[in-house]
Parts: sequence; structure tokens; C-alpha cells
Amino acid sequence: MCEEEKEKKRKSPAEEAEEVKMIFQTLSKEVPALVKGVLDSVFSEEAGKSIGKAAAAFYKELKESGMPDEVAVRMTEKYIGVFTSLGDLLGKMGKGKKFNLQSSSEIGKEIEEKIKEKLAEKGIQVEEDED
Amino acid sequence: MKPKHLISVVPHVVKLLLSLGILWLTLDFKFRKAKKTFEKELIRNGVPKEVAKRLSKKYEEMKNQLKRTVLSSMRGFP
Repeated sequence: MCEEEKEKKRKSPAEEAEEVKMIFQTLSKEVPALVKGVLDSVFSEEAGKSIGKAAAAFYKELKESGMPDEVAVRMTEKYIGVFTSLGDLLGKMGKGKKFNLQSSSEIGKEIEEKIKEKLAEKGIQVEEDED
Repeated sequence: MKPKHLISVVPHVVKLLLSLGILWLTLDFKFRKAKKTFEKELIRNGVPKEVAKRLSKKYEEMKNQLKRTVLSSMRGFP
């Protein structure tokens, strides 16, 4: 009986190929959109305007509180670095290092969910990996 | 999986790579506009011109750092 169930669960090559095709189809749609969204949030015209506004407010606050000019500028540079810390995020993703930034796991989960949705539409069940 | 099944995946892989390539190539162009707007906004909000130039250089450094990190992480792939 066990063997029969296993036989039923085993996918045909055509089904496997269809599953792989759906995965890549979803990836080719979702990944560029996600990357574009992330880049636009920091390196677009609107982002430049918002970050400029925020940096200017930060700098003015520091000057008004009596901070020396050089210190105020350095702190504002560090402040800008917080907005644009994508470099660390993408670099760590590429090298496979673990990190605790929520956004990276959220992006991965989002991609996974989209793939599952597409597969479910096609009636292909995804086997869950046991950790 | 037979080779004929893998062929159906190729267009999607090509599309993915092309999309990412276009994003990479247009990053510098988009960034130039972002940097101009950033500097203008700083000056408009009372930051001295020299300080605004220095901060926009830092903004550019961040963009260059991102590109370097992405390239070095790609080299790390098997």
C-alpha cells in the first residue's frame, strides 16, 4: 500500500518540467519588480527629494543644537548612509551570510508565496521540505 | 527531466536576466536625476552649497558601494 501511494505521489517528467517552468515564469516576473521597487525606494528622483529633505532637517537640527560644522556634516553623512544601506543587504544575500534584517526574509517569503500561488492555479501541489 | 522540457524554461531565464541587466544599466541614469534633486532639496532647505555638494558626494558613494557589493557577490556565485 505504501509503495502504491509513493507511486501515485511521484511526478511524471512532464509535471516536473511544468512545475519548473512555472517557477521560472513567476521569478522572471516578480524578481525584477522587487529589485526595481527596492532601488526606486532609494535611488529615484522622489527618493532623492525625500532623503534630501530629511537630511537637511537633520543637519539643521544639529546646527541649531550648537554642534560644530564638521561634526554636523559627518553625522548627516552617516544619517544618509542609513537610507542607502542596500549595499550591505545585497552583499550579504549574495555571499549567503545570515543576517537579521526582516526585509530580506520578507522578500524571500513573498517570492515563495507567489510561486506557490501560480503552481496552485495549475493544480500542481508543492511538497513542503521538512527542516 | 528531458532536454525538450528544459527548453521551455529558457525564455523565462532569458527574460529574467534581461530585466535585471536593464535595471543595472539604467541605475546610473536614474541616479543622476536623484542626485540633482537631492542636492537641490538640501539647498532649498537651507543647507550651504558646499555642505550640499559634500552630502551628495556621499549619496553617490553609497550608490557606487552598492554596485561594487553586487558585483563582488556575483563573483562569489559558483
